[in-house]
Amino acid sequence: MNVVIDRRPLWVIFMVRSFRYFIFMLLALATYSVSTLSPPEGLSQEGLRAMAVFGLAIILWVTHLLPLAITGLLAMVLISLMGIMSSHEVYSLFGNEAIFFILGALILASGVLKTGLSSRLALIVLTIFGSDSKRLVLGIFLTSAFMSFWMPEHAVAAMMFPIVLEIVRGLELRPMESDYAKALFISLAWGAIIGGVATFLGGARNPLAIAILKETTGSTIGFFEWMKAVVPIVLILLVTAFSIISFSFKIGSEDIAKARELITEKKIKLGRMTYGELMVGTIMILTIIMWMFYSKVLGLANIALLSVVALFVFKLVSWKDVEEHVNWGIILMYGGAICLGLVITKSGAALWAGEIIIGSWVGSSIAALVIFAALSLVLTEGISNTAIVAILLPLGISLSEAYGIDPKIMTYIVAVPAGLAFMLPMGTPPTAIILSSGYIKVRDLVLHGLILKLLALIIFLFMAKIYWPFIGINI
Amino acid sequence: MKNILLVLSTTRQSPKTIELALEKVKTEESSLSALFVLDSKMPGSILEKLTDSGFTGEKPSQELHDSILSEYRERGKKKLEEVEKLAKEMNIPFTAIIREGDFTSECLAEIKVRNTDTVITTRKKRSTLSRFIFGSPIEQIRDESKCEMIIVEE
Repeated sequence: MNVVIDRRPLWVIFMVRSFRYFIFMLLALATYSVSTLSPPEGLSQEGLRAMAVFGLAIILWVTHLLPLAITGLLAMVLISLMGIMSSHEVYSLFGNEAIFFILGALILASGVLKTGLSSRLALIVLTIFGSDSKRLVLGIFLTSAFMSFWMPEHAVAAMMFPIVLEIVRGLELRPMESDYAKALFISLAWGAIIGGVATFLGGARNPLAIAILKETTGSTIGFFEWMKAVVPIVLILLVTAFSIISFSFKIGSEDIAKARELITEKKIKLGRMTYGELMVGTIMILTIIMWMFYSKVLGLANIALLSVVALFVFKLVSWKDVEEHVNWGIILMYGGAICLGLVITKSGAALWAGEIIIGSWVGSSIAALVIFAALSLVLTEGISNTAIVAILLPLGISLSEAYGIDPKIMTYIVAVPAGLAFMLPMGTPPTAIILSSGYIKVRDLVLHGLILKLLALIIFLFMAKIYWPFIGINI
Repeated sequence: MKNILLVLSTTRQSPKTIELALEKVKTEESSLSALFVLDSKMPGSILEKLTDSGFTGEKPSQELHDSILSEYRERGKKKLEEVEKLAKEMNIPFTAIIREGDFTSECLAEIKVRNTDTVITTRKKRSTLSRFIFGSPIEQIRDESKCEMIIVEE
């Protein structure tokens, strides 16, 4: 074993290693000091304390000094210790329906992944589309997008990545140079990202947004209602994104015979559809139908958990499979985010902060909506998109009343753009995954992602203004 | 005969360094070993992000980790094949090595095993202050190995 000696001066080593603790001490001191100040006009003492915890959570979520889930936990502990809300109330928020819906959806997705149904579906689509080079890019794009309608987008990206990597390797495309390789990887990421905003299943930020809406206002948005409002926007975004990929990267007449062979080989290896795949597919389809048409009567979480029970009744997954596929940190993160959202809204802190930040200079409700959509779209590139919802939505909902905006509209306005992080790896896992391939430069993503981002904002706002009134959402 | 070690890694693959190593070996009539260090920490940093903000479970994360690492391994092999081809054209005795793990430890282990006289590698340009505060793997190798180091800054 080789021992490597750190030969930097002792004081430098001490400084570097203790820097983190110094920052934590500073944050603790700042949070305590702010919470004990006398509150400014228009804000209660309770609101000031809530703001102090909220500010701390924002810093920790943005800097990743602590894992997102642990920041969620810390927020709950501080809310309780500072007397903003009782421990009983705080921890009961873990029992929120949205959390159990997310858990159910993740367990269902683990069934789809474990049985290999997701890979089979991807390979079937790629076989259909794999006749020429442009259609292969389209195939990867549409597969990622459509699967992200029904599974978490990061799980889709992680599942599709090895397939695309093998195709690229088989075609002997050069890292960082081949435009075709770039087109294939960007199709994967952008497809998954855009598809991920279409339903509640693509990203847990959507159910989280609904939970914050419900806890703070009592109103809610149904599964089908969300799809009705968002899917047409998603379809236009998909056309736009694919056009950008086609124009930006030279997709010529590459010989993709090897890729075709590889896809066929993989499909043959999978053999015939198994009992497990068939049953998981059937349960998934039934669950989606129930979510779309009966979620208001039966409840989203109840449907999800009943389907989970069905997976176990038919012995399609074991508990070990679930443990291997689901990261339980999700409960902590979302519990904390919902709690924080509720506290800063109810204490009046969100309204106070919202008025200070945008209230004084934004004259109309449309302008307020544009600002929130733009903020969400910009910030999501640097901060986890779930954190964006946890930070911006309580502020938006609190300001809704002052501007005469339906809080439901504010929920769409914050949650949908929060999912559209096309440019940087910090915002969402699909971009981080494709950058890890080494076939794409950050510059490629930033440049083309910026164009798509600007167009996405225009398309989103245009559809909100023109299309939403047709389905009864009046801005 | 002097032993020259060309050190490449997932993030250190400058063609200038390879050229320099081949020229030096030719003029000094030494033997050339090329070490490619597969930095096993790299996929980990991506997965850390994925499990945090994406909340992916252990199994999909591991599968993704393996897939990324296998791609890096393939690329390392290809790079070493390129160097081998160039070395053959110049009639230089050549040995290729791939190691997986921490860059500094793997380099030091190989330097020891091969009784290396000179190490040729590359590093990104960084300020002296940044190297002083955050440390530099190349400086650590220089300090520990005591052999001649030729560093190409890019």
